[in-house]
Amino acid sequence: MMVQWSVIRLFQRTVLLWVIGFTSSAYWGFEALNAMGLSPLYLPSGPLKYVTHALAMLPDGVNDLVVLVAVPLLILLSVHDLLRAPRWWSALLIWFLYTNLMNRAWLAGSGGQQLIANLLFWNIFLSGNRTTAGLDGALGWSFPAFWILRLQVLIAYLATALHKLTGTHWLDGTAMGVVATDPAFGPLWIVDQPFAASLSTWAVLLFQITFPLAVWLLRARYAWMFFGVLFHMATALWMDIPEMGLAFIAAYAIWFDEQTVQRSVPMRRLAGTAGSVSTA
Amino acid sequence: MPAHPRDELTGTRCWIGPLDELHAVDLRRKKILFISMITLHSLLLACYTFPRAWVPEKLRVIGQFYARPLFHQQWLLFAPDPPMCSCGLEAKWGTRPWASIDRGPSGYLKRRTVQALARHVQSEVHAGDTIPAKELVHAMRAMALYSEFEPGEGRSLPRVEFRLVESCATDPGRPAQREERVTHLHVP
Repeated sequence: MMVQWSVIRLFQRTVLLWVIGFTSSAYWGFEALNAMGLSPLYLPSGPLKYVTHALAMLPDGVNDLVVLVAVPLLILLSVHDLLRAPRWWSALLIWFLYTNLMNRAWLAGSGGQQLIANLLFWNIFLSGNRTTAGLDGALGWSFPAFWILRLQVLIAYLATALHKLTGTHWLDGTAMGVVATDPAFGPLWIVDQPFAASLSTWAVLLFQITFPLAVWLLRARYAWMFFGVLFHMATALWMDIPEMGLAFIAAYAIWFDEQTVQRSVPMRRLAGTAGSVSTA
Repeated sequence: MPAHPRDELTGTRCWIGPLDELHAVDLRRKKILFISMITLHSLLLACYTFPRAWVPEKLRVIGQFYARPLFHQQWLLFAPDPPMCSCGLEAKWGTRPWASIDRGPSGYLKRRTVQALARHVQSEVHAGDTIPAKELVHAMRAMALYSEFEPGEGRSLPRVEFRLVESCATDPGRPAQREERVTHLHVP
């Protein structure tokens, strides 16, 4: 039940790498600025829209100028938090900028982008003062944030699996064939292998149903994550939704355990456990 | 009364004073509060994201009220069934032939935006409406005409015609066999 500092640091860094990669590939340049402006203004009810949709609510022209500042600022803050222990205010700013940019370009949105927005929100409570966050052994705000983040990944898998169970093509094994022949997705070669198409349909469904159970067993957890990485990399390569797959892979870090992180040299380096703890 | 712990260095039993007891009670309360918070958040999120058929209507509304403003997410991902029809939007004006509304070099954001626009229009068409919402028309027109004019050129915008082009699998067992459907859109 305890919060594991090196796991949190590993998770923060993988998510920040995703934010830097996605922001610099999607929102950069005037072409992107034009595409962003195409999303009609769509506001949720309630006062929180002034926080999550502040950018979209600015007058035309003004919000374009703000985007020109917001994008490099988001990248700069993410690089800062990647290299140094994040403070709560920088984590808050990263979430605010990211969420506003995402909501302004909502037509180009995806589940992966929404997942990262949620992860960044709870990351605010994992950042900053070790005592109030509870990272020095005391029970602090990092405790609920850490477990909400872990459960968030499971809810995503469970939700999509349950939705698939209410349809027919995932159960009769034809879903992957239909997706693969859609010119917007792929891969087309799978259509010539009907058995492979059916098998991959059921494998995906089985993976999504069992992932929320398998992660509670340490040995099964890493086997399922390994399959998950292969699956998400396949969707990134062939289905033109790279940020979705990579978002899930980044989120897997929250399910690692301290011992595994400490045993692996590259992971230990990415977690940067030595000398990176903020005591402010 | 909890058992007295041993001092780590000397191994002797430590005395637990009233302040320590208060701290222990405080810690227990905090733990209960945090676990309740985690459970409640996850349950409400489940009510918001799980299929309608699995969630009682009242809980779904509460979940929506709680999750929509800050924790919005949807996990359909080709569910309940993948779309049987792929779709694209085409435009023409003047002497130009029909072509995709995305005419320029495709950036990542632009490709996704064009696809999302087409999906929105497609769902309207499937609902029997060939007049797209005006917000969508605005976006379609801006996308089609982007890069055709230099900024500040002062030319009047031409009248643009749009159509939805779908490629539909009629038999899920043979998805490669698709038939093309073209729907002309009535744009005011």
